[in-house]
Amino acid sequence: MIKHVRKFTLLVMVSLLLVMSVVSAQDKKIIVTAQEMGPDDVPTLDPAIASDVPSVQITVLIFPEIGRFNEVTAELESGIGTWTYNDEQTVFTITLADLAWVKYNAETDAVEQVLDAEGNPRMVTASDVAYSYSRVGPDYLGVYQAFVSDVTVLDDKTLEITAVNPGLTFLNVLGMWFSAATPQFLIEEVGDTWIEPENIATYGPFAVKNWTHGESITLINNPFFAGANAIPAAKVDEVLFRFLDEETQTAAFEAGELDASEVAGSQYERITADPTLSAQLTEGLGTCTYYYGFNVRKAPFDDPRAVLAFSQAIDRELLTEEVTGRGEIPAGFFTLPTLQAAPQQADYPEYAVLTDLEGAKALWEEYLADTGKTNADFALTILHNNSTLHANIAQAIQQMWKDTLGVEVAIATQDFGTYLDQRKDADIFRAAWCKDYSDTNNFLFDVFHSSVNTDSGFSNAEYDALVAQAATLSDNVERAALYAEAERLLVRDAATIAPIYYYTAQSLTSDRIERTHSVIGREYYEKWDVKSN
Amino acid sequence: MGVYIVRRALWMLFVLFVISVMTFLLMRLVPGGPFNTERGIPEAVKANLIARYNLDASLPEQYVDYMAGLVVPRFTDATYKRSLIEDYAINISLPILGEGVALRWMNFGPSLTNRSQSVTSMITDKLPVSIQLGAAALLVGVIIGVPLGIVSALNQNKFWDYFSMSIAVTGVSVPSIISGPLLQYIFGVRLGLLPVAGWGELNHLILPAFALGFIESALVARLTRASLLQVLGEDYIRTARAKGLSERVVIGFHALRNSLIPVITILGPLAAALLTGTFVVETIFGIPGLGRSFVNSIGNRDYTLIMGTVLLYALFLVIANLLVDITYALLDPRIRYT
Repeated sequence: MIKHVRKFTLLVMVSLLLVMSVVSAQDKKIIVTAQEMGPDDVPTLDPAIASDVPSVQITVLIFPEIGRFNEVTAELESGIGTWTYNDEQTVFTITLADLAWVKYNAETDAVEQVLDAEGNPRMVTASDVAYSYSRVGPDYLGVYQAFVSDVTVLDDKTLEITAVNPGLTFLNVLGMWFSAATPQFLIEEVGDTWIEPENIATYGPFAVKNWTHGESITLINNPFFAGANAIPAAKVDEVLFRFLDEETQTAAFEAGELDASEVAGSQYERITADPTLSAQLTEGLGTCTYYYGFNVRKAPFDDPRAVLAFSQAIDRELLTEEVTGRGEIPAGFFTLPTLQAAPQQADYPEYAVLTDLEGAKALWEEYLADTGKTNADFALTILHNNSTLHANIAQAIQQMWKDTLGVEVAIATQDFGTYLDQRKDADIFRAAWCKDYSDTNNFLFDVFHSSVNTDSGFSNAEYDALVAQAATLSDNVERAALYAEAERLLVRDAATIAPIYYYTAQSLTSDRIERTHSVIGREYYEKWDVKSN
Repeated sequence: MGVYIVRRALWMLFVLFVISVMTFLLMRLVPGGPFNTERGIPEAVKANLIARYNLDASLPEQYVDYMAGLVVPRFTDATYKRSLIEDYAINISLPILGEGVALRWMNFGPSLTNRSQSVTSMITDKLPVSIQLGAAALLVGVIIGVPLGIVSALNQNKFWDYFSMSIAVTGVSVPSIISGPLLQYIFGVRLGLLPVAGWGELNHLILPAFALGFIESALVARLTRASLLQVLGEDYIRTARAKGLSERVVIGFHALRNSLIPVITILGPLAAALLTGTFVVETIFGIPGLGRSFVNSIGNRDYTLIMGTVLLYALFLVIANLLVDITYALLDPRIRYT
């Protein structure tokens, strides 16, 4: 036993020495955690399969898109391609920049060009892009419906894309992560394991150096990428993404193990109070709207007045200050205010749903009087998926409805899978929508147009016409006016949801990093740098 | 003994069969499915996915297909290409039988929610991590627990007894969700001695091993104490003392060896619990172990991953229990298996 103890003490001491020796400055290598990456893994590096924030974050760095949303203005700029379109706005002609397929070689520890059978470097061609589109849509496993009806390759660098729906909103599709090239030669050779580090070929500012599933992924500077339109070459040598729990991220950041990290909700107050940490904290609007959906197929919510009364009875200021407490912005519209063509609440105050306890009470009483019902006639339940935050919010709202409307509402908590399954049958359910691209179309058309099966049962011809028309216009002021009308239907006149708040995003960044802060929901790490001392 | 082990092994197979059927049925009874997402996916895509993963076959067919892939070894020729759908844990290349021929066994199938790894590679990647963490934690548990228990028993109802037992009670009462962040804060953030999180180097193992092992040490300590106290009252201990043996021999050889039987008994389930129950510690310390995959698979309705991890853990449990029974025989000559 004593021998064991001695051995163990030795072990501890040796490891302590190891730690101390490891601590040294690493120049131009940054270690980060990225938005929503969490402690698990990046689900995929295949742009045609990616449908989640972490996967998209990595794919845009290694397979950049044809169009690139500016991280500050959210405007679409040219990425690996430039475009023109016909007068009908149906056919878009894309011209690609010069890009080479590359691969990290572990033996030489260098990024190398991929060669074809004749030994010539393989370049990214128009057919590599066409191949990507052929992999998106119902014929492929990817979870995105096809926006593209036809793709024609004109020559090595040029292709023509025909949009399913005419209009310039199609350009947003060019800025989505699946509008990228994928290596057909490789995928056909090795199959679905092509995304593994030993196989993968990429062309963006970074290449994949290592991927330890469930632990980290390391991207390395691609010296063959000289920049393409709005996408510059990377400044740092390596970016190491670690997969950590939010709480752990904050501790790891404080211990100097991370150059940038997310902020755990429980740490927010402490960080804002700490002089050092608060100086390293940045806050901005997030990419999601938190809302409650109301089932309009059955009473009482088949009457928009009932939904509006419930919606107005939610004290959003109180909720965001006391319950969520991370500086969330109370929401009067469903659409995030930062999107292209987003209607602003200040411009359309009568269209937005605002907290109005007196109005809610009057409206609900009017509804009860008209229908001859009483509060006791309803046995309503809020459904939410299992999480402390959702539970706290539901309890607060339950109390608000009881206080203002006098309605007793039950709460049902389910795990995520069951919750998704039961949503369409629930009276009231919590939900959130996060943007895929920075245009209002992604909120108002993609979620509530009647061609999409909404869990709340919302289907409105007037609404459909508004959002369809807005999709074909190019003037954002005109579009915003149409979207405001659509919002008015969604949250007031034909109400089916109660928008509650816009998420905020916080991050901590170490002083040695020079970075950009993105409003897009993904960071462009090629623009990050290590400050020179 | 040999016959006994064979009989036990057959029972084990039967138990595993029952567990596999029960797990398969139960997980399919739970509402929701692996392809449900907040966004919802188009019906055509969903149909493609269901067809790709063979989820449109009848349940018995799916079960048989899955188990056949897992249990029945296969010979493959040079045309075999590793894919997410067909990925074997055991691959033995047999060039004698022809070029590219290999014997392959144990295909756990594709994960339904992780689109970059098969269940086989998740298990082969993550199981070693869980085993290292579990073994280190067990080591911490025994190294701290057994001496605490001995000190306590030898000083019954005196200061050192109360002292040791209060440490043990603290250990039982403080879950790793508290001790983990506390250890991180003290040794990682404040003192900067050990990394807060991560995996791959020896120093990454220390904090999580303590966070896990401390709880185990408390159980071990209490059990060691109780058992040693009981043994110390036995006749043969009096005999050993009467023979004039030194106290060190009496305690260290005669008493301790017998008092460890109950301790060994719980080490089996404890070892299995350490492999399965590491979800919290893995999350807190950013360790790519199997515990997280196991717990998350259920929430994600990742049917193949649920089956793979449940069967694996069931296998561990039955083997751990068998080993414990065999160890009894080694520790106590009176126990004989026939």
